Amino acid sequence: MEFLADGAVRAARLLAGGSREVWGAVWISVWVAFVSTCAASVVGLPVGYAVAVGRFRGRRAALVLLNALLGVPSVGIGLLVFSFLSRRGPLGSWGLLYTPAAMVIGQALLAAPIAAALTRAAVSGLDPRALKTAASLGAGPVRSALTAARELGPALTAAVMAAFGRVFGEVGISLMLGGNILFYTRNITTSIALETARGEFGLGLALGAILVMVSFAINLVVHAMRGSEEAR
Amino acid sequence: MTGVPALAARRIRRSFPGGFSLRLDELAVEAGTTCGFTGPNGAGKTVLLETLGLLEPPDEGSIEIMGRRVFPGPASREARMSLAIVMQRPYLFRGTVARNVGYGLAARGLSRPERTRRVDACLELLGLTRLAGADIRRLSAGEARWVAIARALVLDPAILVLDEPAAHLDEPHAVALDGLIRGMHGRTTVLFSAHDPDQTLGCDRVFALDNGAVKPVR
Repeated sequence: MEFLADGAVRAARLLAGGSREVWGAVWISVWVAFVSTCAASVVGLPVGYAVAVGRFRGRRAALVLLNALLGVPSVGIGLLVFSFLSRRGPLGSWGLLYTPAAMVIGQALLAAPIAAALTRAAVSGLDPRALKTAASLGAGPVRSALTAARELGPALTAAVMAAFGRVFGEVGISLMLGGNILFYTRNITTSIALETARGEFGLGLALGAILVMVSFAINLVVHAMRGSEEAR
Repeated sequence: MTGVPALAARRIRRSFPGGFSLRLDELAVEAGTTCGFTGPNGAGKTVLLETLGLLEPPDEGSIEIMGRRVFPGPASREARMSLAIVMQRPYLFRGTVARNVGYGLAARGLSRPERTRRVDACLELLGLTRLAGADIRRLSAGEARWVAIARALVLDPAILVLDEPAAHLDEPHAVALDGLIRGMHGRTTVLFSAHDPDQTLGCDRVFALDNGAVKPVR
């Protein structure tokens, strides 16, 4: 218990004292997760919408694939992207391995199926009269999609937040593609893994506390948005 | 009948699980006239108007608007734009009454000042000006229906399809609606359904529906 208490005290000091190491990792976590979530949303939201409303050959297969991709572990995606970005890989000449860009690519691949699946679920729950009404008033496919997005605003924001939450807390991709380089690719989760292994439990605990707080905050926002949607 | 009918449908069939099927052999509605459809609940009025209003495709048959085939095959944007429909349970988009009424105008690419001018004029015509900025969630069922009617009327469509337009309307609004429909005679082709056959007394043509079968009355 003393070990835990000491760790907690050190964690509190690090957080209060503005440790460069701690807040550097937090900053890298936040902006890499933010950029990768944006990239995942640009792809995932339209894909989710298309799978929900489209009537095309292979739609069922797309749905199965989408759900299957939700279960792919982050380390699996890390391995896949690593094989492309490593020096001997097809994209090795780009020199992206162990850079934040590589982390963004991996995290975007992790987040896109989440954004797509949650968008599909949200659009499937949209009142079918909404899209019929839009079409009857002369809306083309793009305007209809934008109308659906507006009607589903809170649900789609929740989908994006859920994707952000997933990548913010992942460790496999960050470790494999980022390389855990201090002040460059070391984020909260890779710091926790490293510092805990080195016996720096206080630092690990401080970062863990931030991770949990951000996770709680995301869940609170998602919950509030779902609540406002239900109250509508 | 002279000239090309505003809306023509032939041998329309639309079947549903459970055995119900819509059956319409021939319909030709002359431009500028009013056509009423009556029948009891479940007779197929909504199914028919959703089909003629291009919201749902039939299983078979053909539909033409102003002489141009819109089914089978994809309905041209121009044909779709010439028609406006108010569903039995209209859907209003999030936001204000004015945004809803202006939606179709925006879809047609009208400039913002032009949209504002036409929306304001339509709201004034229907006595909705005081509700222009109101959130649609605060509207009564009757007000929501009136807004949906305004949203269709503002488009000045060649063909207006109204599914039980008088439902949820109080008497003054029902009378006003009747006046509006009569006022459109000669200018707009109106197709509407009504539970009460008396509401179709002023129609040029009337059809009765019975368990999916559409039969001409006059």
